[in-house]
Amino acid sequence: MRTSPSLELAEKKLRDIANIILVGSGKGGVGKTVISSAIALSLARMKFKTGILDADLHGPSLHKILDCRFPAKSGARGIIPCTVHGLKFMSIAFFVDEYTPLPIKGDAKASLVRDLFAQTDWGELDYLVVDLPPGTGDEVLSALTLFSSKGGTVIVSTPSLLAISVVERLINLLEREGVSIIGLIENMAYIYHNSEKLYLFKSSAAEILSKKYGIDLLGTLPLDPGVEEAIIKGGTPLNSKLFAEEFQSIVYKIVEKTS
Amino acid sequence: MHEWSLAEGIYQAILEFAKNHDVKKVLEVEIKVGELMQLDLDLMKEAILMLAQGSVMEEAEIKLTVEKAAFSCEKCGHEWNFEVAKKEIEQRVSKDKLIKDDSGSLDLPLHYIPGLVYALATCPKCGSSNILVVRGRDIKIQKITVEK
Repeated sequence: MRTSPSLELAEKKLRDIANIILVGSGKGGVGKTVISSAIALSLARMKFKTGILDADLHGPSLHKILDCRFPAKSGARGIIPCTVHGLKFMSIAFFVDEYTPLPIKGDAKASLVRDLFAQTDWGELDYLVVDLPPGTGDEVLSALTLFSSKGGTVIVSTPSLLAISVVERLINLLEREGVSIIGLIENMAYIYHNSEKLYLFKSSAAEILSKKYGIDLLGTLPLDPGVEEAIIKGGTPLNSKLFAEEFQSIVYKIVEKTS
Repeated sequence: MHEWSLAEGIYQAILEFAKNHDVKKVLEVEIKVGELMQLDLDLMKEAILMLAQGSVMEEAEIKLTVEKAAFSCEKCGHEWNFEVAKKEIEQRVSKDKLIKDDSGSLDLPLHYIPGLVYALATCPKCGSSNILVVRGRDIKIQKITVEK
């Protein structure tokens, strides 16, 4: 039997969420959080009721991208999430000061992801986007177990061949855990120079993995300094025209594959 | 009022167990509550009993016991209790991080998310973050006695 009431609460909250999109990568630094936020923001723009959970317990950064004020209140259905750009948003960052280290240990990581989700008043959602931490540690396993019944995964990679084996570990873990894969996104694949795409790598890890595992390549995205500029100015990644244009078709594919 | 949502979680877990095991009547439920969560046990018991009305656990005796929290340092071996840890945590959590509930009371985030303790507590002797919560962190259903 379930001995933790928190698990039961999580199950109850899951019943009110139609789709969960887990955004993962084998390694850090591939732009996974920017992509998670862009997926959620795009879905909200399309009038889907959308939430986003930052499950990166050691290095949360979504709150920097989404820039919102946490209400620090709870009601009958749990902690009230931050509401920003039409999204409901929860993160561990809301409970600790900005520069406090987050040396969360083993099984506490698993229960923390579950509690962050279960104790939040998400209400009814069409989509919950979960920004997974890099790698395949406790919190990733916990999220896969918790969300697999409603979820599929979007895998983010860079074109670098060095990324292949790391991403493959994640693909194999997802297969082992029975979590469906929505598709791959290749980030930082090219830059724009005089309106032309200049590809930074001779190879494409995502193309190789797509062929090897039969996973859809949802799209490739540029290395776009405009994304960071937009965030620093208080906007979102979608305020960068180049990024937003490329991203639109990716989100349409995600919606098509999850509806 | 976090106690009410946890009570609901407990009630649902027991109901599911009863359904899956053809239980006629739940006689007793033992629940261990980690000291870290600082839950109001009377309120929790009241909530569980209220939810249980008209169910197989209507007449069950609900036993809630607090498991005292214990901490140890993996770096220097020091051991301490929640009283010591709480003082430090209260100093570390700024006022805007306290969660205000419907009744207006302010709670430490640990009340809702006990795993946060690893971000909020350090060893009082050497200051290391490499600590271990030996016990008293979570809430768990320990034992259910039933009649079939």
